[in-house]
Amino acid sequence: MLGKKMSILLVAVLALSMVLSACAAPAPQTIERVVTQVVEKQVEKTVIQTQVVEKKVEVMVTAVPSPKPAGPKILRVAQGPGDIPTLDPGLGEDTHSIQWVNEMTIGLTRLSDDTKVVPGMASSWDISTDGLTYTFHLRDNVPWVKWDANTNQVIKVQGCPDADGKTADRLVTAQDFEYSILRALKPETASPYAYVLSFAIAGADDFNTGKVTDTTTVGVKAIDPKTLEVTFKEAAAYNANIIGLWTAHAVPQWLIAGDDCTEARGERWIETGFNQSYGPFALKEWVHDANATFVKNPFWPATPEIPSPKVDEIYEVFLDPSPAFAEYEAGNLDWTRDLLGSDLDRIKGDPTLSKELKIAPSMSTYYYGFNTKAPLVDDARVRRALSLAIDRQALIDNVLKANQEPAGWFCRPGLAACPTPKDYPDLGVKYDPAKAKQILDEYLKEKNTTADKLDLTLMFNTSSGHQKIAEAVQQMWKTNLGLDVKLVNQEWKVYLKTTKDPKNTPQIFRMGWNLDYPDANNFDREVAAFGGSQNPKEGGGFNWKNDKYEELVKAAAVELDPKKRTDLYSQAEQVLVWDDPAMAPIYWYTRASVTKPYVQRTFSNTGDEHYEFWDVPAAK
Amino acid sequence: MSRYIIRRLLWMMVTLMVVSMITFGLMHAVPGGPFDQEKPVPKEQLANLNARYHLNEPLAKQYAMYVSDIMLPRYSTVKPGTSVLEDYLFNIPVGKGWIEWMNFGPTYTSRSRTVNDIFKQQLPVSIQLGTMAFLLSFVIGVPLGIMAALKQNTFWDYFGMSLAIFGVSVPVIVLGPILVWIFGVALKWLPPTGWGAKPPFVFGILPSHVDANYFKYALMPVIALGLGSSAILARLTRASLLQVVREDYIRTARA
Repeated sequence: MLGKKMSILLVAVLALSMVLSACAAPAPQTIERVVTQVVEKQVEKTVIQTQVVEKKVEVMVTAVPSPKPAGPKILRVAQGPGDIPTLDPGLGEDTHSIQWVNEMTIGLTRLSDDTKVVPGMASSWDISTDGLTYTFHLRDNVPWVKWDANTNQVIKVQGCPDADGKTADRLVTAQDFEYSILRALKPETASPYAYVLSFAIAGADDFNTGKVTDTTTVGVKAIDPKTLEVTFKEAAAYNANIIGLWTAHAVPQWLIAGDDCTEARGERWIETGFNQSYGPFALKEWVHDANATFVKNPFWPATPEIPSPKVDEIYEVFLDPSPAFAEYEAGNLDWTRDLLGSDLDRIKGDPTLSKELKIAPSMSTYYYGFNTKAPLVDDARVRRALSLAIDRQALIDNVLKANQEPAGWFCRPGLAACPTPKDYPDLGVKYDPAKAKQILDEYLKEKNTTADKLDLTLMFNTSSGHQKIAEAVQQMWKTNLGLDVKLVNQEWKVYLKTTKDPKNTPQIFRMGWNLDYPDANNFDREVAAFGGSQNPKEGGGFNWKNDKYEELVKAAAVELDPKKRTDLYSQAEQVLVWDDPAMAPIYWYTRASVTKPYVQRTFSNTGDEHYEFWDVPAAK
Repeated sequence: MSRYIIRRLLWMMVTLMVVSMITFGLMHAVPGGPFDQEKPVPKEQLANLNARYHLNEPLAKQYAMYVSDIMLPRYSTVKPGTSVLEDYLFNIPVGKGWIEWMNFGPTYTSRSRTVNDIFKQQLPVSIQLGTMAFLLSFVIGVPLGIMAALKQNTFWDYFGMSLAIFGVSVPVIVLGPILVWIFGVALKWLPPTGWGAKPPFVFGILPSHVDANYFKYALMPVIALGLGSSAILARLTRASLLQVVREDYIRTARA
């Protein structure tokens, strides 16, 4: 039906597109900076003659036309999907917010890329003999900065003028940290992560729940602008880790509440034009639901752990994984992660893309929990059989496809004090269908029944990914054990209520846990132990209280020797997944990302990247 | 005519009221609240959050507050733009204070934005995109239909109508990624994502700079959206024109 002319045109377009797509991208040039930046402004000879004494060397160079200065180094990223929920450290709760909060503000301590606690705003700290009081010594050379749209650069925030009308730079002080921690704990702020601080800091719990309104009862005191004293509830090994949590980063009190020379911005203080920060990067512009631009803070004093950034600007665009990958392929993004499973197959097969792909561990665990008081799963043998009958590696190879790791226990290797498969090869649960059948047969014989008569339900929150995994596991349980397990799914918010309801928690429920801070305590005690988020005191969740486990995790919290601590957690995990199983761990998460070859980057295990270590060639 | 318009407007108000009441009620009928999360939320904190968003009040009162915030203007001496809970779309300075009107309330998803902010930032982009797509469908569809009708049963007719069938059958969710792949990723002529204008907008809806860059961003989305409707317009125009062309008065005019 198409005319002849149209067909020729179509073929030409197709041929042209094939030719153009094969053109290699031009290699990025590194433009050398010439030292004589000062001289660029002085081209008239007469000006130079008057200064010949001071700048003799430069006279010779003026003959050379000053080279075009190198363009800025702009790193283009996509960390979505969706808008950054908030840039307020006290209110941040998801990885997107935390990524930028950790770049714009720095906590007292910080986590290095390999999840070790290193000095942040506190250059050192003293621990009292009873292990409860930490005295942090802050740096005194970190100013508050903001982006000034009039001069197009980052400027230092000025304090209120004194009696002579002079102003001084505002520096980050211990009072800022005291204000920020108390603000996060205040019930009116409704900070979602204050609960981590209230577990650890003395007096914080009562203040956070509103029982006490006197802020002096909370164990946080600024002794002087350079010294902050924090009193903890326990002499725990992870105290220094927790105080570095993003919720405890400093926020500008004068901007939020207002003072004599600053208008109060309330909750809008983080928006473009108002935002003040002090970390290696500052916010230049935030166009909601579209993009955000962060610029290098030239006033950040480089510390050994947190250097001055090499890139000048980071431009982030908020995109879903699919368009983000399209932008990456078009050359408009320098790296992207959260690749879709369907894209991963193509990436692994492609010669260029497969070299740019890197799969790194991500600190989360996916598991099927058991309501240990529900019928049938109240018997440990049934739970063990169910756990043993799951072929985790087959799930990873055929359903998940991102080189995840089969999980033998709950805490994720890579967290502080969490046992690793290398050091503990026989720990935890592994796929063993024969043993699973044997254990179940024992149970069936005792109860005088058969596998197909057992009424079991597996529940998960609605998602195509969870559906695929549940169907695969349902098939495994049918083939290996002869069980007919029913699958039920519910929308996330409804599901959360169901799995915490003492009356309605299903026998088997799907859950995951992502770290709040990289320590095994966060997983083993704050989630799984009695009173934890998945095992509430009022009932619901695991409905599980095992005295040996409670003892082990309590002892591990205050054990300071790392090897002994890891041993204690390994014993606790053995109870958690085998002796008296509360869950069947399924897999440990990984993160797949692709990065352009011209990007010099680091990989962080903490879940957010440290862009101050990255480098890209300058824009042309 | 004016009575007809007024009647339609009144019916629109009634419809809006009913729809908003139903939506409001349904939102509260679903189990689970906006603040439920995996991590434990202390009861006192939940109480604080509920008080802030007036979720602890009776449903009828909440609805009344919602509607009155939108419909009724109020006078206030508090400077607009500081609080997230009292953010109005229209602020007219009068004497020492302001007359403020249309507060759609805060949003659960962000503590630093209100529903008004979302409207101000996203509605203009939709308006621009929609208007351009409509214009495109008109500019392509009507001439194509006219040509097809006037030169009926010739090449132009078949070409126009096959293009129309293509436009109607290929859904936007297929056409979009294909365009992105060809022009964005393979040829790299056009940007695959993004929009060429950002807030603040002129008169609240128009882009502040209109240049080649703006149209580069707009081209693919406008084509993807406009092609389907242009196809329908083409067929419609052709059919109507064919009907009219055979009328007696046309033959008389030609004679």
